[in-house]
Amino acid sequence: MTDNELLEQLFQPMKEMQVPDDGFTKRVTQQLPKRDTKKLSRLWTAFCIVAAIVLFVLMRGWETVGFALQTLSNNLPTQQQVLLFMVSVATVGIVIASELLFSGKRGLRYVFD
Amino acid sequence: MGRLNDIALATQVAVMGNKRAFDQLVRQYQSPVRRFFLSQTSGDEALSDDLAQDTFLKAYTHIGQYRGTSSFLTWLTRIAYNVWYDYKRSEKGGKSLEAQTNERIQGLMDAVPQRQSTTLQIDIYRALSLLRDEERTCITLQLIDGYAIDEIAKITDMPTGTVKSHLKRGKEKLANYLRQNGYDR
Repeated sequence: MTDNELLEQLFQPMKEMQVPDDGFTKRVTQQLPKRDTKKLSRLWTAFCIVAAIVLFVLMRGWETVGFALQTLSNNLPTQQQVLLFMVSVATVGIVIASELLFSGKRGLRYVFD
Repeated sequence: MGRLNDIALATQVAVMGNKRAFDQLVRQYQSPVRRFFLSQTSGDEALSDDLAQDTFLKAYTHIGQYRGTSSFLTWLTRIAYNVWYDYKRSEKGGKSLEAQTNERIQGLMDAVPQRQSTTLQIDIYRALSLLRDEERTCITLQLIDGYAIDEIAKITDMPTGTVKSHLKRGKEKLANYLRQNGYDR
């Protein structure tokens, strides 16, 4: 009997050996770390910003904005214009504040990292 | 479980962090991974389970790197080999595996074994402990896990010629030891 034949024969039972789970899988899954979901969130934010810019350019968004502003200035009384302006500023402020809050010191730049 | 199913599960883990999908992969492959470590540690169940756990945790955190070009088990075995390699590097200067194996085997013989270790299994673990680490890894990957030489080379990152010479020397040592202990009659 050659070395190979002898070893093949003797190792056969170990080749067929099945290690019973005995709670191993449960122990592993209990120790799994939380996945970093920031990366996906950043990608999604970047995608939305790029899509918004592209659509704005393709649809000549500045014309619509200009038209809307002109209509507002022609039709609304001064008090309503001021209120509208304040609501707009507040909305933009909330968006920027939340971005700064969730992205730490690096602020809005994180999107493009 | 087919490779396509493994890729589907790995994708669910990578994209959505689906822990149930990973649970299925662990359940499917825990046996070969723990058996790999049992062979490397000459039957040390506690150490094997710790190292196998490390392997699966590393697989989970790096699952986005699995491309599906090899089987999921081959990819896992490569991680397992790296975990084993790092472990051996960190414990250099400690007791030799042969000394540790002798102590453990004595313990196995004195006490009721946790799993039914046969005399043949004990003799094989003892024989494996006599080999150099690289020889033992190549031998067990071929004789127990059934990998071809080129797959062993990929898993261990060794040239195929080196794998062949480890297998040749390792097999000679094993066969001599086992023959001396009456296994060729």
